[in-house]
Amino acid sequence: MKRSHRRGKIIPYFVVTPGLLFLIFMALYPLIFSLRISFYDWNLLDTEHAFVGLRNFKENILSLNFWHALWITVLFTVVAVSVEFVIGLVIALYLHRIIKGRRIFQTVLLLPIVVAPAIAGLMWRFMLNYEYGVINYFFTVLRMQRYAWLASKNLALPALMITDIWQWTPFMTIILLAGLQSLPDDPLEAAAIDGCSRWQTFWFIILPMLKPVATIAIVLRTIDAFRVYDIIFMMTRGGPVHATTSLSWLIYETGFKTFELHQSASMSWLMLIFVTVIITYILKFTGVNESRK
Amino acid sequence: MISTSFKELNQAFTTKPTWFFTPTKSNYNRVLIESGFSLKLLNSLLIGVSASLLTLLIACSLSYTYTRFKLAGSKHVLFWILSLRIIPPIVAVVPIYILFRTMGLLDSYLGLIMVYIFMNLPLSVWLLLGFFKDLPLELEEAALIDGCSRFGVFFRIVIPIVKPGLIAAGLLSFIFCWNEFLFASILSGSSRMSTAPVGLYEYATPVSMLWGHIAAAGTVMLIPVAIIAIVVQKHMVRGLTLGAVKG
Repeated sequence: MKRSHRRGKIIPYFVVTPGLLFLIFMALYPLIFSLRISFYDWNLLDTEHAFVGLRNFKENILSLNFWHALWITVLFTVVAVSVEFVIGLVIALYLHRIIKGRRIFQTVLLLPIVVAPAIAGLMWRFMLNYEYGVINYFFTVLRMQRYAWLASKNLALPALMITDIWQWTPFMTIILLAGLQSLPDDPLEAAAIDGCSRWQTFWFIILPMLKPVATIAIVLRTIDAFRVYDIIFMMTRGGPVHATTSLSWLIYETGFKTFELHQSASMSWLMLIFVTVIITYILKFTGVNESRK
Repeated sequence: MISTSFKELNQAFTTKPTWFFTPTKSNYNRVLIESGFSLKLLNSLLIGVSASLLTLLIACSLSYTYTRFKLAGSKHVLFWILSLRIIPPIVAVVPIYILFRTMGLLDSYLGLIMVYIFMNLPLSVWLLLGFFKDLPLELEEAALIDGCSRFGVFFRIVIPIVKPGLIAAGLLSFIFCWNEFLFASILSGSSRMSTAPVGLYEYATPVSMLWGHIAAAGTVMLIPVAIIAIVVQKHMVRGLTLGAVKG
Protein backbone atom coordinates (compact mmCIF):
# COMPACT_ATOMS: atom_id res chain seq x y z
CA MET A 1 0.00 0.00 0.00
CA LYS A 2 2.70 2.39 1.07
CA ARG A 3 4.90 1.44 -1.81
CA SER A 4 2.26 2.03 -4.42
CA HIS A 5 1.53 5.38 -2.85
CA ARG A 6 5.12 6.43 -3.25
CA ARG A 7 5.21 5.14 -6.78
CA GLY A 8 2.16 7.26 -7.56
CA LYS A 9 4.14 10.27 -6.46
CA ILE A 10 7.18 9.54 -8.56
CA ILE A 11 5.56 8.54 -11.84
CA PRO A 12 4.44 12.07 -12.74
CA TYR A 13 8.08 13.16 -12.61
CA PHE A 14 8.96 10.43 -15.07
CA VAL A 15 6.25 11.63 -17.40
CA VAL A 16 7.48 15.22 -17.53
CA THR A 17 11.19 14.39 -17.65
CA PRO A 18 11.63 13.70 -21.39
CA GLY A 19 9.81 16.89 -22.36
CA LEU A 20 11.69 19.00 -19.87
CA LEU A 21 15.05 17.52 -20.83
CA PHE A 22 14.33 18.25 -24.48
CA LEU A 23 13.38 21.84 -23.69
CA ILE A 24 16.38 22.39 -21.45
CA PHE A 25 18.72 20.98 -24.04
CA MET A 26 17.26 22.93 -26.96
CA ALA A 27 17.12 26.16 -24.98
CA LEU A 28 20.31 26.08 -22.98
CA TYR A 29 22.66 24.44 -25.44
CA PRO A 30 22.50 27.27 -28.03
CA LEU A 31 22.69 29.94 -25.35
CA ILE A 32 25.66 28.44 -23.56
CA PHE A 33 27.41 27.59 -26.80
CA SER A 34 27.06 31.09 -28.17
CA LEU A 35 28.11 32.56 -24.85
CA ARG A 36 31.22 30.42 -25.03
CA ILE A 37 32.19 31.25 -28.60
CA SER A 38 31.59 34.92 -27.99
CA PHE A 39 34.71 34.88 -25.81
CA TYR A 40 36.75 33.35 -28.64
CA ASP A 41 37.95 34.29 -32.09
CA TRP A 42 35.80 31.70 -33.81
CA ASN A 43 35.74 31.92 -37.56
CA LEU A 44 33.82 29.10 -39.22
CA LEU A 45 36.65 28.60 -41.70
CA ASP A 46 39.45 28.33 -39.12
CA THR A 47 40.18 25.19 -37.19
CA GLU A 48 41.82 26.80 -34.18
CA HIS A 49 40.07 29.30 -32.02
CA ALA A 50 41.86 31.77 -29.76
CA PHE A 51 40.43 32.99 -26.49
CA VAL A 52 39.92 36.75 -26.64
CA GLY A 53 37.95 37.53 -23.49
CA LEU A 54 35.47 40.34 -23.77
CA ARG A 55 36.90 41.68 -27.02
CA ASN A 56 33.90 40.67 -29.15
CA PHE A 57 31.43 42.37 -26.86
CA LYS A 58 33.65 45.44 -26.71
CA GLU A 59 33.90 45.56 -30.48
CA ASN A 60 30.16 45.28 -30.85
CA ILE A 61 29.45 47.94 -28.31
CA LEU A 62 31.91 50.25 -30.05
CA SER A 63 30.76 49.35 -33.55
CA LEU A 64 28.46 51.68 -35.38
CA ASN A 65 26.92 48.82 -37.34
CA PHE A 66 25.56 47.23 -34.21
CA TRP A 67 23.97 50.39 -32.88
CA HIS A 68 22.61 51.24 -36.28
CA ALA A 69 20.97 47.81 -36.52
CA LEU A 70 19.59 48.16 -33.01
CA TRP A 71 18.18 51.57 -33.91
CA ILE A 72 16.57 50.19 -37.08
CA THR A 73 15.07 47.29 -35.12
CA VAL A 74 13.70 49.49 -32.36
CA LEU A 75 12.34 52.02 -34.84
CA PHE A 76 10.69 49.25 -36.85
CA THR A 77 9.23 47.64 -33.74
CA VAL A 78 7.93 50.84 -32.15
CA VAL A 79 6.34 52.25 -35.30
CA ALA A 80 4.89 48.98 -36.55
CA VAL A 81 3.50 47.82 -33.21
CA SER A 82 1.97 51.16 -32.25
CA VAL A 83 0.33 51.65 -35.65
CA GLU A 84 -0.96 48.09 -35.49
CA PHE A 85 -2.31 48.68 -32.01
CA VAL A 86 -4.12 51.91 -32.85
CA ILE A 87 -5.64 50.69 -36.11
CA GLY A 88 -6.39 47.32 -34.56
CA LEU A 89 -8.17 48.96 -31.63
CA VAL A 90 -10.25 51.20 -33.90
CA ILE A 91 -11.35 48.26 -36.05
CA ALA A 92 -12.04 46.15 -32.96
CA LEU A 93 -14.21 48.89 -31.42
CA TYR A 94 -16.12 49.15 -34.67
CA LEU A 95 -16.58 45.41 -35.06
CA HIS A 96 -17.67 45.16 -31.44
CA ARG A 97 -20.63 47.42 -32.17
CA ILE A 98 -21.84 45.65 -35.27
CA ILE A 99 -23.33 42.24 -34.82
CA LYS A 100 -24.31 41.17 -38.31
CA GLY A 101 -21.42 39.82 -40.32
CA ARG A 102 -18.89 40.01 -37.53
CA ARG A 103 -18.07 36.40 -38.15
CA ILE A 104 -17.24 37.02 -41.79
CA PHE A 105 -14.98 39.90 -40.82
CA GLN A 106 -13.23 37.68 -38.34
CA THR A 107 -12.59 35.08 -41.00
CA VAL A 108 -11.18 37.66 -43.38
CA LEU A 109 -9.03 39.08 -40.60
CA LEU A 110 -7.51 35.69 -39.85
CA LEU A 111 -6.11 35.27 -43.33
CA PRO A 112 -3.17 37.72 -43.27
CA ILE A 113 -2.06 36.25 -39.95
CA VAL A 114 -1.58 32.78 -41.39
CA VAL A 115 0.14 33.93 -44.57
CA ALA A 116 3.82 32.99 -44.40
CA PRO A 117 5.83 36.18 -43.76
CA ALA A 118 7.99 35.03 -46.65
CA ILE A 119 4.99 35.15 -48.99
CA ALA A 120 3.82 38.46 -47.55
CA GLY A 121 7.27 39.92 -48.17
CA LEU A 122 7.40 38.76 -51.78
CA MET A 123 3.83 39.87 -52.38
CA TRP A 124 4.51 43.38 -51.13
CA ARG A 125 7.75 43.50 -53.07
CA PHE A 126 5.71 42.84 -56.16
CA MET A 127 3.08 45.42 -55.23
CA LEU A 128 5.75 48.04 -54.54
CA ASN A 129 7.58 47.33 -57.78
CA TYR A 130 8.63 50.49 -59.60
CA GLU A 131 7.34 49.65 -63.04
CA TYR A 132 4.29 47.46 -62.61
CA GLY A 133 3.51 47.43 -58.91
CA VAL A 134 -0.05 48.14 -57.86
CA ILE A 135 0.96 50.85 -55.38
CA ASN A 136 2.81 52.88 -57.97
CA TYR A 137 -0.07 52.35 -60.37
CA PHE A 138 -2.38 54.03 -57.84
CA PHE A 139 0.14 56.82 -57.41
CA THR A 140 0.12 57.42 -61.16
CA VAL A 141 -3.65 57.41 -61.28
CA LEU A 142 -3.65 60.04 -58.51
CA ARG A 143 -1.15 62.02 -60.61
CA MET A 144 1.60 61.56 -58.08
CA GLN A 145 5.18 60.56 -58.52
CA ARG A 146 6.20 56.91 -58.75
CA TYR A 147 8.60 55.71 -56.11
CA ALA A 148 11.22 52.99 -56.21
CA TRP A 149 10.25 51.99 -52.68
CA LEU A 150 12.67 49.25 -51.91
CA ALA A 151 15.62 50.90 -53.65
CA SER A 152 15.25 54.14 -51.75
CA LYS A 153 17.14 54.69 -48.55
CA ASN A 154 14.26 56.56 -46.96
CA LEU A 155 11.36 54.45 -48.16
CA ALA A 156 12.67 50.91 -47.73
CA LEU A 157 12.12 50.77 -43.98
CA PRO A 158 8.61 52.26 -44.19
CA ALA A 159 7.85 49.68 -46.88
CA LEU A 160 8.84 46.92 -44.46
CA MET A 161 6.70 48.54 -41.77
CA ILE A 162 3.72 48.65 -44.13
CA THR A 163 4.15 44.93 -44.84
CA ASP A 164 4.29 44.15 -41.15
CA ILE A 165 1.31 46.37 -40.43
CA TRP A 166 -0.70 44.71 -43.19
CA GLN A 167 0.05 41.31 -41.78
CA TRP A 168 -0.34 41.93 -38.05
CA THR A 169 -3.00 44.61 -37.58
CA PRO A 170 -5.64 41.86 -37.89
CA PHE A 171 -3.88 40.02 -35.06
CA MET A 172 -4.33 43.05 -32.79
CA THR A 173 -7.93 43.45 -33.92
CA ILE A 174 -8.85 39.85 -33.24
CA ILE A 175 -7.29 39.78 -29.79
CA LEU A 176 -8.67 43.17 -28.75
CA LEU A 177 -12.09 42.19 -30.07
CA ALA A 178 -12.01 39.04 -27.96
CA GLY A 179 -11.02 41.24 -25.01
CA LEU A 180 -13.86 43.69 -25.67
CA GLN A 181 -16.39 40.91 -25.86
CA SER A 182 -15.36 39.47 -22.53
CA LEU A 183 -15.77 42.79 -20.70
CA PRO A 184 -18.60 42.91 -18.16
CA ASP A 185 -21.58 45.10 -19.05
CA ASP A 186 -22.25 46.56 -15.59
CA PRO A 187 -19.56 49.27 -15.52
CA LEU A 188 -20.63 50.40 -18.98
CA GLU A 189 -24.27 50.64 -17.91
CA ALA A 190 -23.26 52.51 -14.79
CA ALA A 191 -21.26 54.91 -16.91
CA ALA A 192 -24.20 55.44 -19.23
CA ILE A 193 -26.48 56.18 -16.27
CA ASP A 194 -23.95 58.61 -14.81
CA GLY A 195 -23.96 60.46 -18.10
CA CYS A 196 -20.47 59.71 -19.33
CA SER A 197 -19.74 60.81 -22.86
CA ARG A 198 -18.67 58.17 -25.33
CA TRP A 199 -15.11 59.41 -25.20
CA GLN A 200 -15.08 59.35 -21.40
CA THR A 201 -16.48 55.83 -21.34
CA PHE A 202 -13.79 54.71 -23.72
CA TRP A 203 -10.92 56.49 -22.01
CA PHE A 204 -11.77 55.86 -18.36
CA ILE A 205 -13.64 52.56 -18.46
CA ILE A 206 -13.08 50.49 -21.56
CA LEU A 207 -9.37 51.17 -21.96
CA PRO A 208 -8.36 50.37 -18.35
CA MET A 209 -10.44 47.20 -18.39
CA LEU A 210 -8.87 46.21 -21.68
CA LYS A 211 -5.35 46.70 -20.36
CA PRO A 212 -4.46 43.05 -19.58
CA VAL A 213 -5.53 41.84 -23.01
CA ALA A 214 -3.89 44.80 -24.74
CA THR A 215 -0.66 44.15 -22.90
CA ILE A 216 -0.56 40.54 -24.03
CA ALA A 217 -1.16 41.58 -27.61
CA ILE A 218 1.53 44.26 -27.47
CA VAL A 219 4.07 42.03 -25.76
CA LEU A 220 3.59 39.22 -28.28
CA ARG A 221 3.84 41.61 -31.19
CA THR A 222 6.92 43.33 -29.75
CA ILE A 223 8.68 39.99 -29.33
CA ASP A 224 7.94 39.09 -32.94
CA ALA A 225 8.62 42.47 -34.51
CA PHE A 226 11.96 42.66 -32.73
CA ARG A 227 13.13 39.52 -34.52
CA VAL A 228 12.04 40.69 -37.98
CA TYR A 229 13.93 38.69 -40.59
CA ASP A 230 11.77 36.93 -43.18
CA ILE A 231 10.35 40.01 -44.84
CA ILE A 232 13.79 41.67 -44.88
CA PHE A 233 15.22 38.60 -46.55
CA MET A 234 12.48 38.68 -49.18
CA MET A 235 12.22 42.42 -49.75
CA THR A 236 15.47 44.28 -49.22
CA ARG A 237 18.16 41.94 -47.90
CA GLY A 238 19.27 44.60 -45.45
CA GLY A 239 19.84 47.25 -48.11
CA PRO A 240 19.93 49.80 -49.58
CA VAL A 241 23.13 50.82 -47.74
CA HIS A 242 22.08 49.12 -44.47
CA ALA A 243 18.86 51.14 -44.35
CA THR A 244 16.95 48.00 -43.36
CA THR A 245 19.64 46.05 -41.53
CA SER A 246 17.85 44.86 -38.41
CA LEU A 247 19.63 43.05 -35.60
CA SER A 248 18.47 39.67 -36.90
CA TRP A 249 19.75 40.47 -40.35
CA LEU A 250 23.10 41.75 -39.04
CA ILE A 251 23.57 38.60 -36.98
CA TYR A 252 22.71 36.48 -40.00
CA GLU A 253 25.11 38.38 -42.23
CA THR A 254 28.05 38.28 -39.83
CA GLY A 255 27.41 34.62 -39.11
CA PHE A 256 26.80 33.19 -42.55
CA LYS A 257 28.38 35.64 -44.98
CA THR A 258 31.62 36.63 -43.29
CA PHE A 259 31.63 33.53 -41.05
CA GLU A 260 32.61 35.53 -37.97
CA LEU A 261 30.59 33.38 -35.65
CA HIS A 262 32.07 34.93 -32.53
CA GLN A 263 30.79 38.35 -33.54
CA SER A 264 27.36 37.06 -34.41
CA ALA A 265 27.19 35.08 -31.16
CA SER A 266 28.09 38.04 -29.00
CA MET A 267 25.55 40.17 -30.87
CA SER A 268 22.96 37.46 -30.25
CA TRP A 269 23.55 37.76 -26.56
CA LEU A 270 23.27 41.52 -26.61
CA MET A 271 20.04 41.16 -28.61
CA LEU A 272 18.62 38.66 -26.14
CA ILE A 273 19.42 41.01 -23.27
CA PHE A 274 17.80 43.96 -25.04
CA VAL A 275 14.59 42.12 -25.88
CA THR A 276 14.29 40.72 -22.35
CA VAL A 277 14.77 44.18 -20.85
CA ILE A 278 12.18 45.67 -23.19
CA ILE A 279 9.58 43.00 -22.43
CA THR A 280 10.19 43.23 -18.68
CA TYR A 281 9.82 46.99 -18.92
CA ILE A 282 6.52 46.72 -20.80
CA LEU A 283 5.16 44.26 -18.25
CA LYS A 284 6.26 46.42 -15.35
CA PHE A 285 4.96 49.61 -16.95
CA THR A 286 1.50 48.15 -17.46
CA GLY A 287 1.55 46.37 -14.11
CA VAL A 288 0.01 43.23 -15.58
CA ASN A 289 2.64 40.98 -14.08
CA GLU A 290 1.86 42.13 -10.54
CA SER A 291 -1.89 41.84 -10.84
CA ARG A 292 -1.50 38.27 -12.03
CA LYS A 293 0.61 37.24 -9.07
CA MET B 1 -8.11 48.33 -45.97
CA ILE B 2 -7.76 44.62 -45.46
CA SER B 3 -10.32 43.72 -48.06
CA THR B 4 -8.60 45.85 -50.69
CA SER B 5 -5.25 44.35 -49.88
CA PHE B 6 -6.82 41.00 -50.44
CA LYS B 7 -8.17 42.00 -53.79
CA GLU B 8 -4.75 43.23 -54.69
CA LEU B 9 -3.30 39.98 -53.50
CA ASN B 10 -5.50 37.98 -55.78
CA GLN B 11 -4.99 40.22 -58.73
CA ALA B 12 -1.26 40.50 -58.28
CA PHE B 13 -1.12 36.78 -57.99
CA THR B 14 -2.98 36.00 -61.14
CA THR B 15 -2.23 38.83 -63.54
CA LYS B 16 0.65 40.33 -65.34
CA PRO B 17 0.79 44.13 -64.83
CA THR B 18 -2.53 44.63 -66.60
CA TRP B 19 -5.79 44.60 -64.70
CA PHE B 20 -7.66 42.60 -67.32
CA PHE B 21 -6.50 39.12 -67.94
CA THR B 22 -7.34 35.68 -69.07
CA PRO B 23 -6.49 33.16 -66.40
CA THR B 24 -3.73 30.79 -67.36
CA LYS B 25 -2.68 27.48 -65.94
CA SER B 26 0.88 27.57 -67.23
CA ASN B 27 2.40 28.95 -64.02
CA TYR B 28 0.80 26.23 -61.99
CA ASN B 29 1.90 23.57 -64.42
CA ARG B 30 5.43 24.86 -64.29
CA VAL B 31 5.49 25.06 -60.51
CA LEU B 32 3.69 21.87 -59.59
CA ILE B 33 4.76 19.50 -62.30
CA GLU B 34 7.94 20.60 -64.02
CA SER B 35 10.00 22.05 -61.18
CA GLY B 36 10.66 20.45 -57.81
CA PHE B 37 8.20 22.55 -55.89
CA SER B 38 5.76 19.73 -55.23
CA LEU B 39 8.58 17.80 -53.63
CA LYS B 40 9.20 20.74 -51.32
CA LEU B 41 5.51 20.88 -50.49
CA LEU B 42 5.72 17.21 -49.57
CA ASN B 43 8.77 17.91 -47.39
CA SER B 44 6.89 20.72 -45.67
CA LEU B 45 3.91 18.48 -45.12
CA LEU B 46 5.97 15.63 -43.68
CA ILE B 47 8.00 17.87 -41.40
CA GLY B 48 4.96 19.90 -40.35
CA VAL B 49 2.78 16.91 -39.53
CA SER B 50 5.40 14.95 -37.63
CA ALA B 51 6.62 18.01 -35.74
CA SER B 52 3.06 18.95 -34.74
CA LEU B 53 2.18 15.44 -33.59
CA LEU B 54 5.33 15.14 -31.51
CA THR B 55 4.75 18.63 -30.13
CA LEU B 56 1.28 17.57 -29.03
CA LEU B 57 2.60 14.45 -27.38
CA ILE B 58 5.26 16.29 -25.39
CA ALA B 59 2.95 19.21 -24.64
CA CYS B 60 0.30 16.84 -23.27
CA SER B 61 2.81 15.03 -21.10
CA LEU B 62 3.91 18.35 -19.63
CA SER B 63 0.70 20.30 -19.28
CA TYR B 64 -1.56 17.47 -18.15
CA THR B 65 0.89 16.30 -15.53
CA TYR B 66 1.45 19.80 -14.27
CA THR B 67 -2.29 20.51 -13.92
CA ARG B 68 -3.15 17.25 -12.17
CA PHE B 69 -0.23 16.55 -9.88
CA LYS B 70 1.54 18.78 -7.43
CA LEU B 71 5.07 18.72 -8.75
CA ALA B 72 7.93 20.60 -7.15
CA GLY B 73 8.37 24.11 -8.56
CA SER B 74 5.62 23.68 -11.14
CA LYS B 75 4.88 27.39 -11.31
CA HIS B 76 8.49 28.27 -12.04
CA VAL B 77 8.89 25.53 -14.62
CA LEU B 78 5.76 26.59 -16.47
CA PHE B 79 6.80 30.23 -16.41
CA TRP B 80 10.22 29.24 -17.68
CA ILE B 81 8.60 27.40 -20.59
CA LEU B 82 6.55 30.49 -21.38
CA SER B 83 9.62 32.71 -21.25
CA LEU B 84 11.29 30.61 -23.96
CA ARG B 85 8.96 32.39 -26.34
CA ILE B 86 11.12 35.51 -25.96
CA ILE B 87 14.33 34.02 -27.40
CA PRO B 88 14.76 35.37 -30.93
CA PRO B 89 15.28 32.42 -33.31
CA ILE B 90 18.31 34.10 -34.87
CA VAL B 91 20.08 33.76 -31.52
CA ALA B 92 19.86 29.98 -31.73
CA VAL B 93 20.64 29.62 -35.42
CA VAL B 94 24.44 29.62 -35.29
CA PRO B 95 24.84 27.16 -32.38
CA ILE B 96 22.18 24.85 -33.79
CA TYR B 97 23.81 24.97 -37.20
CA ILE B 98 27.18 23.96 -35.75
CA LEU B 99 25.64 21.31 -33.51
CA PHE B 100 23.67 19.77 -36.36
CA ARG B 101 26.72 19.89 -38.60
CA THR B 102 28.67 17.75 -36.16
CA MET B 103 25.69 15.46 -35.59
CA GLY B 104 25.06 15.12 -39.31
CA LEU B 105 21.55 16.53 -38.97
CA LEU B 106 21.92 19.23 -41.63
CA ASP B 107 19.65 18.60 -44.62
CA SER B 108 17.59 16.09 -42.70
CA TYR B 109 13.99 15.90 -41.62
CA LEU B 110 14.90 15.14 -38.04
CA GLY B 111 16.90 18.34 -37.52
CA LEU B 112 14.12 20.65 -38.64
CA ILE B 113 11.52 18.62 -36.77
CA MET B 114 13.47 18.99 -33.53
CA VAL B 115 13.80 22.75 -33.96
CA TYR B 116 10.11 23.10 -34.76
CA ILE B 117 9.03 21.05 -31.77
CA PHE B 118 11.10 23.29 -29.58
CA MET B 119 9.65 26.46 -31.06
CA ASN B 120 6.06 25.23 -30.84
CA LEU B 121 6.18 23.80 -27.33
CA PRO B 122 5.67 27.00 -25.29
CA LEU B 123 2.52 27.82 -27.24
CA SER B 124 1.11 24.29 -27.15
CA VAL B 125 1.90 23.72 -23.47
CA TRP B 126 0.20 26.93 -22.40
CA LEU B 127 -2.72 26.48 -24.72
CA LEU B 128 -3.39 22.97 -23.45
CA LEU B 129 -2.83 24.05 -19.87
CA GLY B 130 -5.94 26.19 -20.16
CA PHE B 131 -7.99 23.34 -21.60
CA PHE B 132 -6.89 20.88 -18.93
CA LYS B 133 -7.62 23.37 -16.18
CA ASP B 134 -11.17 23.84 -17.47
CA LEU B 135 -11.78 20.12 -17.20
CA PRO B 136 -13.84 19.13 -14.13
CA LEU B 137 -11.88 16.88 -11.79
CA GLU B 138 -14.95 14.84 -10.86
CA LEU B 139 -15.05 13.04 -14.20
CA GLU B 140 -11.57 11.67 -13.81
CA GLU B 141 -12.11 10.80 -10.14
CA ALA B 142 -15.21 8.83 -11.03
CA ALA B 143 -13.29 6.86 -13.65
CA LEU B 144 -10.46 6.20 -11.18
CA ILE B 145 -12.91 4.86 -8.62
CA ASP B 146 -14.42 2.63 -11.28
CA GLY B 147 -11.04 1.00 -11.62
CA CYS B 148 -9.56 2.82 -14.56
CA SER B 149 -5.81 3.37 -14.51
CA ARG B 150 -4.29 6.85 -14.69
CA PHE B 151 -3.25 6.35 -18.29
CA GLY B 152 -6.61 4.84 -19.07
CA VAL B 153 -8.29 7.91 -17.67
CA PHE B 154 -6.11 10.15 -19.78
CA PHE B 155 -6.69 8.33 -23.04
CA ARG B 156 -10.36 7.41 -22.57
CA ILE B 157 -11.74 10.40 -20.71
CA VAL B 158 -9.43 13.39 -20.98
CA ILE B 159 -8.35 13.17 -24.61
CA PRO B 160 -11.89 12.98 -26.06
CA ILE B 161 -12.97 16.01 -24.03
CA VAL B 162 -10.06 18.25 -24.84
CA LYS B 163 -10.00 17.22 -28.48
CA PRO B 164 -10.83 20.74 -29.69
CA GLY B 165 -7.84 22.05 -27.79
CA LEU B 166 -5.57 19.38 -29.20
CA ILE B 167 -6.78 20.04 -32.71
CA ALA B 168 -6.24 23.79 -32.30
CA ALA B 169 -2.76 23.38 -30.83
CA GLY B 170 -1.76 20.87 -33.46
CA LEU B 171 -3.00 22.93 -36.37
CA LEU B 172 -1.41 26.13 -35.07
CA SER B 173 1.88 24.26 -34.73
CA PHE B 174 1.46 23.01 -38.25
CA ILE B 175 0.86 26.52 -39.61
CA PHE B 176 4.00 27.69 -37.87
CA CYS B 177 6.12 24.89 -39.37
CA TRP B 178 4.60 25.44 -42.77
CA ASN B 179 5.51 29.13 -42.75
CA GLU B 180 8.88 29.04 -41.02
CA PHE B 181 11.70 30.34 -43.17
CA LEU B 182 14.83 31.15 -41.14
CA PHE B 183 15.72 27.69 -39.88
CA ALA B 184 14.42 26.04 -43.03
CA SER B 185 16.73 28.10 -45.20
CA ILE B 186 19.82 27.65 -43.04
CA LEU B 187 19.50 24.05 -41.91
CA SER B 188 18.50 22.63 -45.26
CA GLY B 189 19.75 25.29 -47.67
CA SER B 190 19.36 24.35 -51.30
CA SER B 191 18.94 20.64 -51.19
CA ARG B 192 16.19 18.20 -51.95
CA MET B 193 15.18 18.29 -48.31
CA SER B 194 14.20 21.95 -48.18
CA THR B 195 10.68 23.12 -47.42
CA ALA B 196 8.19 25.13 -49.43
CA PRO B 197 9.10 28.68 -48.25
CA VAL B 198 12.69 28.02 -49.28
CA GLY B 199 11.51 26.65 -52.61
CA LEU B 200 9.46 29.78 -53.07
CA TYR B 201 12.54 31.92 -52.80
CA GLU B 202 14.34 29.91 -55.46
CA TYR B 203 12.07 31.57 -58.00
CA ALA B 204 13.53 34.92 -56.96
CA THR B 205 16.70 34.48 -58.98
CA PRO B 206 19.32 37.21 -59.05
CA VAL B 207 18.68 37.66 -62.77
CA SER B 208 14.93 38.09 -62.70
CA MET B 209 12.01 37.56 -60.41
CA LEU B 210 9.78 34.85 -61.83
CA TRP B 211 6.67 36.55 -60.52
CA GLY B 212 4.29 34.17 -62.22
CA HIS B 213 5.90 31.18 -60.57
CA ILE B 214 6.22 32.89 -57.21
CA ALA B 215 2.55 33.79 -57.36
CA ALA B 216 1.45 30.30 -58.26
CA ALA B 217 3.67 28.68 -55.63
CA GLY B 218 2.56 31.22 -53.03
CA THR B 219 -1.09 30.56 -53.73
CA VAL B 220 -0.60 26.82 -53.47
CA MET B 221 1.12 27.34 -50.12
CA LEU B 222 -1.62 29.63 -48.93
CA ILE B 223 -4.60 27.34 -49.55
CA PRO B 224 -4.01 24.76 -46.78
CA VAL B 225 -3.29 27.32 -44.07
CA ALA B 226 -6.27 29.42 -45.09
CA ILE B 227 -8.51 26.37 -44.77
CA ILE B 228 -6.97 25.54 -41.39
CA ALA B 229 -7.46 29.11 -40.20
CA ILE B 230 -11.16 28.95 -41.03
CA VAL B 231 -11.56 25.53 -39.41
CA VAL B 232 -9.92 26.45 -36.11
CA GLN B 233 -11.23 30.01 -36.11
CA LYS B 234 -12.92 29.50 -32.78
CA HIS B 235 -9.73 28.58 -30.98
CA MET B 236 -7.45 30.86 -32.93
CA VAL B 237 -7.57 33.72 -30.42
CA ARG B 238 -6.75 31.47 -27.53
CA GLY B 239 -3.98 29.87 -29.50
CA LEU B 240 -2.41 33.08 -30.73
CA THR B 241 -2.18 34.46 -27.21
CA LEU B 242 -0.78 31.25 -25.69
CA GLY B 243 -4.07 30.59 -23.99
CA ALA B 244 -4.14 33.91 -22.18
CA VAL B 245 -7.25 35.31 -23.88
CA LYS B 246 -10.30 33.18 -24.48
CA GLY B 247 -11.98 33.86 -27.81
